[in-house]
Amino acid sequence: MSGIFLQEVDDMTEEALGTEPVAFQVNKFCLADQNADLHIMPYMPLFEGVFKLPTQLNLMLNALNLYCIIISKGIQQFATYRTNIFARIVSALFMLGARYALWIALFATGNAGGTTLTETMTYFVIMDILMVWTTSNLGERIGSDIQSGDISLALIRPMTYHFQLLSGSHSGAVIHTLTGSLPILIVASVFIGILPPVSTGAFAVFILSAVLGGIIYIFIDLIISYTAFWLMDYWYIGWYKRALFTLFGGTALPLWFYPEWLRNISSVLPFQLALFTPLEVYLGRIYGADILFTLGMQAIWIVLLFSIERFIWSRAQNKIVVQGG
Amino acid sequence: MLQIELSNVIKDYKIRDRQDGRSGFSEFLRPLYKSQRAVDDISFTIQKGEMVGYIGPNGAGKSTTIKLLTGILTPTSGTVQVFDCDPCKNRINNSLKMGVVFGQRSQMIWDLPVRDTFDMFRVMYRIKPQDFSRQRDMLIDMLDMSDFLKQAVRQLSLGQRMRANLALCFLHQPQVVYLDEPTIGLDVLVKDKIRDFLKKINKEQNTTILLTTHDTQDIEEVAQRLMLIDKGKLLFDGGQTDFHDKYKDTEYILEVVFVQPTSPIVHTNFRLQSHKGHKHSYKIPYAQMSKGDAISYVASRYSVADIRVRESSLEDILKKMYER
Amino acid sequence: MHSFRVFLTIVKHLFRARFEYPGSFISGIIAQWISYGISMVMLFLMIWNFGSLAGWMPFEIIFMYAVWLLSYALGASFTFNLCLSFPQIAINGTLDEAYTRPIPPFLYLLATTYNTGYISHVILTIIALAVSIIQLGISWTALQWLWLLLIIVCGSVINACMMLICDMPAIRTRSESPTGIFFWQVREFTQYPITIYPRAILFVFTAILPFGFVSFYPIQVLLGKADGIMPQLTMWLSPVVAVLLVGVTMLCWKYLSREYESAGT
Repeated sequence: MSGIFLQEVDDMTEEALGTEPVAFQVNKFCLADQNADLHIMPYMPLFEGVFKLPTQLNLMLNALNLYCIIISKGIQQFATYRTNIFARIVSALFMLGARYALWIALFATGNAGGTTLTETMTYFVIMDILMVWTTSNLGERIGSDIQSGDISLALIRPMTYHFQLLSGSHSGAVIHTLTGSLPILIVASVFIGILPPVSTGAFAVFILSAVLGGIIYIFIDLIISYTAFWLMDYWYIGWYKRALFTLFGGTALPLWFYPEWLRNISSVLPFQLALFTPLEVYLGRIYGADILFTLGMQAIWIVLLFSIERFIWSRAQNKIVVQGG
Repeated sequence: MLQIELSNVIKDYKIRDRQDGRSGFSEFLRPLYKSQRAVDDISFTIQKGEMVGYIGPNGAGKSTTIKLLTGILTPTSGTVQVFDCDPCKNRINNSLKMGVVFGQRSQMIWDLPVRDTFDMFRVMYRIKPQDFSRQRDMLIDMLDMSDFLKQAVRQLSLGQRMRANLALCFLHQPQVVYLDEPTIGLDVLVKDKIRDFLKKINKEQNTTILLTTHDTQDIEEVAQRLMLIDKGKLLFDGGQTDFHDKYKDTEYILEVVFVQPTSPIVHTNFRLQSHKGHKHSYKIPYAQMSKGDAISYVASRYSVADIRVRESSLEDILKKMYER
Repeated sequence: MHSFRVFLTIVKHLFRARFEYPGSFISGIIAQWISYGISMVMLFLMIWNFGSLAGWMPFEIIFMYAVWLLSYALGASFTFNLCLSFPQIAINGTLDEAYTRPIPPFLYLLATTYNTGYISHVILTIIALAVSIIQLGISWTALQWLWLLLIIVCGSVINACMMLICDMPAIRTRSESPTGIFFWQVREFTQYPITIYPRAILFVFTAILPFGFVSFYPIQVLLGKADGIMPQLTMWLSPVVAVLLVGVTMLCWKYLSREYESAGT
């Protein structure tokens, strides 16, 4: 993201998420008059001057609009590198092929247990799409912001800061999806055979579970990344996060392959609820009343993680104020 | 004793000839090259112990010449002889006898004090222990480095780092030293220290020094001999006074401040340049009237508060030459 | 030889520089231990769950992985930073500096860019090696220990050379090397027994991008295995491949240096 773009984002973010209530004026927000090339979302004439929405909803809609603009801007910038896209797609497909060869060889031993090759491949292909949430380097961003002093934004406008952290990393995630996960999905469905959703109802529940899982992932990500406020060396925070999700979250190996004791440990931790559990819902491994239980667990963890995150955030703010960053 | 000899050296670079109108495909399959002449038939010799200033506008071919002498590049034609051999073919032997400083480029280990890099160089240049301690102590003293020896390189200022770079360069008592813009970005005090150091070490150890620089004061103070290169050609090779004599203006400027506003002086030799009330300036050809005569002429006929002669400085000369 | 003494001195000082910041050094090591350690655990669990992979038992796979990773770490410690610097090396004066030193320029570059961070991999993989050797109940003769040492050395050389060969074009292109992916992406596939891949890929990993000789082929000698596809001879060829690759690397370097001289900066 170019420097100029970030400045525009700063301005727009302050406007959109400032603490003063903003009457919902689509014209103003879409900036059609000021910056034509940022006008990506269409007008929503339904709301234009018709009625004033409650402030919170107002802010949320603004934020959503801004988020979409940022994401598409990031994609536009990336789309200028055509050879890069081609290389990434080819490389993603090679990874798919290698993974397929590996799992064919594993299943050839005949000790599949309670799963099939198709199910496992489906797991990985859909996991790849869900991994949209997982590409982020928040810890490093926080760390370098502390070093450069930009962390003051976090004190003055904490919502803006969080917004920028998350939307910045997500534009990269969207690119990864378009150049990696989607081609993989297409090729895999055609050549390997992917399990489709069991039913539309099940699929809807899966989407719900996936969104809850995504929120869980974001909170865990933030909590772990906040350690950057207390550590001298913040470059490795991402490694620890990935390691935890690899071990307990099923990103490298579905948890149904785990021995009992490790499976039990994972079940008391929130990591598996982010990606693994929604995938189990998709695959129909969780069904009936168990689904309610699962969604309930996800909701509980969201509340728990939210409180932990708020607590650590307040401690972090304290630290900045006391120590001056 | 002849130490460096360039004979009819030509150096051409191969650069991409990107022509408009060619398709991207043919650019990729069969790229066209054209040659650019960086050094155009240069010859000179340098004796041991000389201090030579090498000047010229950017892109004139100064760095290329240094790279030819240090053995980084080979000439397209002509011969380069340093210590009676081709520096490219005898790179290791040549390197043992020479020292190089490339501008601000730091050759030290960033997180350790300078003395560790000293040790590294001691091993690399095969310096005997007694020679090493003697030379090192002398350099530390001459460059006034004792106060920052224990600090990591990371924490040093630019001036301190440059002094350390210079010390490293002279550590193995090289016979020739090539300095490519060694004073760039430094404050006046440090520049002074470095110039004094170069003069001193040249006198004490008879080190040949070849210095490229844009700083005219460097040249005026350090270089006994001046070589001017432009567009690959050696335009001048000689002493500083010869350079001034050859290139200075044919006229000097006489600046007079009168006690009262005066009308311009009328004289065949005096060419009025500007006059503002009290202050006049005139251009006078050297050939027609000496400076002394001009001064006494004005002083004897007018009430003068101040009178000055301004001659073209090295900087003025270079500016004019670069513009050409 | 003098050049090697200089090489060791430079690397010694680089290690000393690293230890100036023990805190960051240790935290880096621990992060890498955890990261690679968990990868190894995942690999093991995967194979353990199925009992075997292409005829290889879980601890045999760990053994193979440990040799694979150790060879990579040792090789990369020499070449990783250097390859990363290739796009700029002709422009920022690094290459010029290397040519003015009284030791061969290539050796100077290898020494000054040595990466001291791989020590974490070395420690971790040696532990993994020890664990798998014990679990496999192996007792070897002195000759077999020597062979293990030899294949680790050859594997490091193969990794180092392949990295250099694939990244060297960056010196000329002054940007990311187009052939870089043949090392960085492709190498990941070779941590498993390469017989799981179709014959064409197996051929690639044997004859074109010889990563198979880093770990898969040579450890068959020690484990008394035969992969059933390639002739017995391939088990012994790692040293030959390593020497050949050194030759290819030297040729590439000479070609690039010559081009550098005539093209200038």
